[in-house]
Amino acid sequence: MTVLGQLSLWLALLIAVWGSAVGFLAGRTERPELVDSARRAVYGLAGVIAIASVSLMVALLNRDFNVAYVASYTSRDLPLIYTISAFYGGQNGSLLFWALVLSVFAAAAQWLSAPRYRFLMPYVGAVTCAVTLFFVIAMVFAGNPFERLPFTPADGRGLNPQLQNPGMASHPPFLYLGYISITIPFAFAVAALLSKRLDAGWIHAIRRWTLLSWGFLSVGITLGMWWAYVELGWGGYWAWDPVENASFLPWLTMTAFLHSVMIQEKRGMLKKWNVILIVLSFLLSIFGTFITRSGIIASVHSFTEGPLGFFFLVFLVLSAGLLFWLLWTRLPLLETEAHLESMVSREASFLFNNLLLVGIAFSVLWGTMFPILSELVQGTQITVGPPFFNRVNIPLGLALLVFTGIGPLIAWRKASTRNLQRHFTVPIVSAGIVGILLTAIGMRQFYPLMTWVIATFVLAGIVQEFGRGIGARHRLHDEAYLQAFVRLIGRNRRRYGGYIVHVAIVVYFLGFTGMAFQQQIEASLRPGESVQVTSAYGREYTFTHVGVSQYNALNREVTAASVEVFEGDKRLGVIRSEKRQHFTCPVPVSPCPGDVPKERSFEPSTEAGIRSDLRQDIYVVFAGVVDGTEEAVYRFTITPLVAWVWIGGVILVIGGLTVMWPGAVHARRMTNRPIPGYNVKLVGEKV
Amino acid sequence: MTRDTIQLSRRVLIANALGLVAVGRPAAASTRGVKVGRHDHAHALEGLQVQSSPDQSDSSPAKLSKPWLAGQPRERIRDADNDPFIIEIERQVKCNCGCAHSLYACRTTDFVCGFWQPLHAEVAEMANQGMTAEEIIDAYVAKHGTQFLMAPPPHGFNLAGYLVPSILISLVGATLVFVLRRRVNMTSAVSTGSGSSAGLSDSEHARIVAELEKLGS
Repeated sequence: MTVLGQLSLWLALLIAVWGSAVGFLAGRTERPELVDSARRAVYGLAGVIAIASVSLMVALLNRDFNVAYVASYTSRDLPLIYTISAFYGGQNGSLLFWALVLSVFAAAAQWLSAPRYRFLMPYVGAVTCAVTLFFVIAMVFAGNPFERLPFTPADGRGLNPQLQNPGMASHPPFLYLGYISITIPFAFAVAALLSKRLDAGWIHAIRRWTLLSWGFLSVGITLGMWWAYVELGWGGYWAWDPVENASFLPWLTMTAFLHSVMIQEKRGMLKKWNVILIVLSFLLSIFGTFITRSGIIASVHSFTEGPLGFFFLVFLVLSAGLLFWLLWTRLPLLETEAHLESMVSREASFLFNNLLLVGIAFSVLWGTMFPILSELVQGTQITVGPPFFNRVNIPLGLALLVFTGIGPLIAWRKASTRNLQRHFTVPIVSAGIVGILLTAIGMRQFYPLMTWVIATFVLAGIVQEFGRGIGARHRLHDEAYLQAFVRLIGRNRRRYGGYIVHVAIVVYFLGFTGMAFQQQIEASLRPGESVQVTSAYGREYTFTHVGVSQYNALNREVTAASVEVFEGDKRLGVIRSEKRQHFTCPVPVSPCPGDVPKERSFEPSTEAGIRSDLRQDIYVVFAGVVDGTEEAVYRFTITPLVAWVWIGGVILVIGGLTVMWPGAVHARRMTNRPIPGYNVKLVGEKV
Repeated sequence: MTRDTIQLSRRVLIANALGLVAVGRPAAASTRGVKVGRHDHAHALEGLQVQSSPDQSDSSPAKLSKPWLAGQPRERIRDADNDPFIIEIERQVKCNCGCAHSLYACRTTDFVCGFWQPLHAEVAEMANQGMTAEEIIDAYVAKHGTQFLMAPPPHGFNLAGYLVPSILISLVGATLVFVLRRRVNMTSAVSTGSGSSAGLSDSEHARIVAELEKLGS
C-alpha cells in the first residue's frame, strides 16, 4: 500500500502543478476547456491525495513497522483511536493530513460555489492547487510519510503518552481544519484581486467558509486548552507558548474580518482592509505552521525535525512578496463606496474593535518573535513568557470586551442621543451595580473586578436585545415567549447567532478570572495523613492520602495515588492521579506476554486527577514518591470557574452553528441565484 | 530606589493587580488559602498543616514494588516549597529544563527533568540568608543569564518589547480618530451641501434610518 501512497504523492505533485498553471491560464483567458480542466485538476488532486492518505492509514492500522513513520508513532498495543490519530500525530503525517483536508475543501469549494462564481473559480482552483503543491513538495522532498526503514523493528516506539488523550485526538484536527480552511477564503480573495472583480461577489462567496474556518480554529484552540489542562499537569490552560500564540494569531485576524466584512456588506466600506485581513490570516496560518516546524522558538509543542522549517520560510516569504505586489497593484480598484458619517456609530465601533484585535495580534506576534529580535540586536537570548503577555494583553483584552458590548447596541451610520440612552442605560447601570456588589464582598483585584463589570455590561446589553426582540414578537405575533425566542433567532440567525458568540466570549473571560484566585500547595503525605486548603470562596477542603497502587494497563504500567477529599465535613469522593510508564514489546506479539521484559518507550507521564463543578476545579497531581515508599508527593490546586471556559467553548459552537446554519428553502434559492453581472453572456462567448 | 527595585515594585503591583501573591516576606509563614501552623509530626512542614490520624497513619509507609515507575525520586516537601515569597520569585525566573516554564511551574509540573532541584535550592538558600526578592533575582540572573528571567527586564532595547505594541496601537488609534473625524466632517459638509437629507424632518430621518437598519439586519 505504501508504494501506492508514494506513487499517489508523485501524481499529486504533477496534478497540482497542472492545476495551478492551467487554473491561472483559465482565469486569464476564460477558455471553457481550460476552466473545465482546472476544475477537474482540483477534483483529481483530492482523489490522489485521498489515496495516499488511505495508504498511510492502512500502514498504521496494519502496524507496518517497516514504514519509518509507523514505527515512530505507533506500537502494537497502542489503542485504535490513537493509532488513527497518529496519522497527524507526527510531522510527516500531519503534512499529508494538511494536503488531504486542503484538497477536499478545494474540491468542495469548486462543487458548491462554481455555478455562482464561475469567473472566480479557475483562479480559486489555481490558488488551492498551488498551496497544496507546496505541501506535496514538502512531503516528497523533506518529510515523506512513506519512507521505509532498512529493517523491520519488532515493535514501534509508540505515540508520545501526552498525545494519548482524547483532547489530543480531537484538538489537532480541529486546529488544522481551521488553519487549512482559511486557504479557501484566501483563494477567493486572490481570485477577486487577479480577476479584478472586486465587487461584493467574493465577499458573499467566502462568508460561510470564513465562519467555518473561524469556528474550527475556535474549537481547536479551546480543545487545545482543555488538553493542556488535563494532560500537562500544571493546572492552567494557556501559557502563551509560541505554538499556542501561533494558533491565536489567525483567530484574531479572522475575528477582525468577521466584523469588518459587515461594514463592507452594509456600507461598501473597508474593502482594502478586508482583503488585507484575509491575506494576513492566511499568512499567519502558514507562519504558525512555520513556527511549529522550524523550532526557531522553543516550544513544548514543536516538531523540529529536518529542513521543513526552511521550506515553510521560503513559501512564506514568496507568498508574502507576491501578495504584497498583488494588493499594491489592485489598490485603486478597492475604493470605498461610502464614508463614515459619525464617530458615534456601529461602523466606528467596529473599526476600533478591529484596531484592538489586530493590535492584540501584533503584540502577541511581537512578543513571540521578540527573543529572536533581541538576539539579533543585542546578541543576548531573552525569554518572553506569561508575565510579558499578561502585562501587554490583559488591558487590550478588556478594552476589546468593552467594544464587544458597544458594537451590537450602537446604531449604524449615526447614533442619536436617544439611541444611546435607550440602549446603554440598562447595561451601564447593571455593570455599576455588579461592580459595587463585588467590591462590597471584598473583590479587590483590579483586572478580575473590571472583567466582571465589563462582562455584566456586555451580557446586559445582549439580554436587553433578546428581551426587546422577544417582547416585540410576543406583542405583534401573539407568540409564547419561548416560541418567540426560537423564532427570533431563526428569523435572523446571523444577528442573534452573533450575540450568542458574544455571550460565549464573555463566559470565556469570566472563566479566565478564576485563575487570579487559584490556590496551590504541595504536600508529601503518608497514607492516612491529610492537608487542608481553603478555596477562594472560603471553604475548607481536606485531602487525605489513601495510598499508592501499581498495576498493568494495556500499553503501560500505572502507579496511582489516591486522596479522599472532604469539603468541610462533606465527603466529596476519591481523586486519583497517575504516573504512567509506557513500554514497547521486544517480540512481535500482541498483547505482549507477561514474562517478556518490556522496554520503556518514554519517560513516565503524569495524569492529573480532576474534580470539576461549576464553582471550581479541584486538581490533584501525583508528583512522585519519597524513598520508594507509599509516601506520596502531591500538588493540590483549587481554581475557580474553570468549567466556564469549556462552557464558553460549547456556547461558541452553538452560536457559530446558528450563524452558519443554512436558511429556509426560499433563502437558499435566493443565495444560489446568480449575482447580477456574473450571468451576463457576452457576445461571442462560448460558455 | 534603584532601577531593579523599581522594576520589582512594578512586578509587585502587577502581581497584585492580577490577583497574585505579592512579592514580599510574609508576616507569618503562610500560604494563601492554606491552613498554617506548626505541628509535631516527624516530617512536619513549618508552613503547612499536615494532620495524621493515629489509627490510620502509617508510621513507616510500605515500599513500592517498582518505585522507578513513579517517576523521579522525590524528597519530602519542605517549608521553602510552599513559601509564597519563594514561589513568587520562582514565577519570575526560568528553569533550564528546555521548556518555557517558570522555575515554579517546572518544579511542580515537570517531573522528568531534575535540573530544577539545584535551582530551587539556590533560591531557597538565598531566601534563607535573608536576601530580598530583588537581590535574589539579581543574583540568579547574574549567575545564569538574562534569559533566565520569565520576562525581559524593562530597560535598554527590551523596553521596546514592552512599549512598541502600546505605542503603535495608540498611534494608529489616534491617526484613525483624526482621519475619521476629518472624513466625518467632509461627509456631513457634502451631505448638507447636496441637501440629500435636508428636506427631511428629524422624525422622518429617524424612521428611514430605522427602516434601513431593519432591512439590513
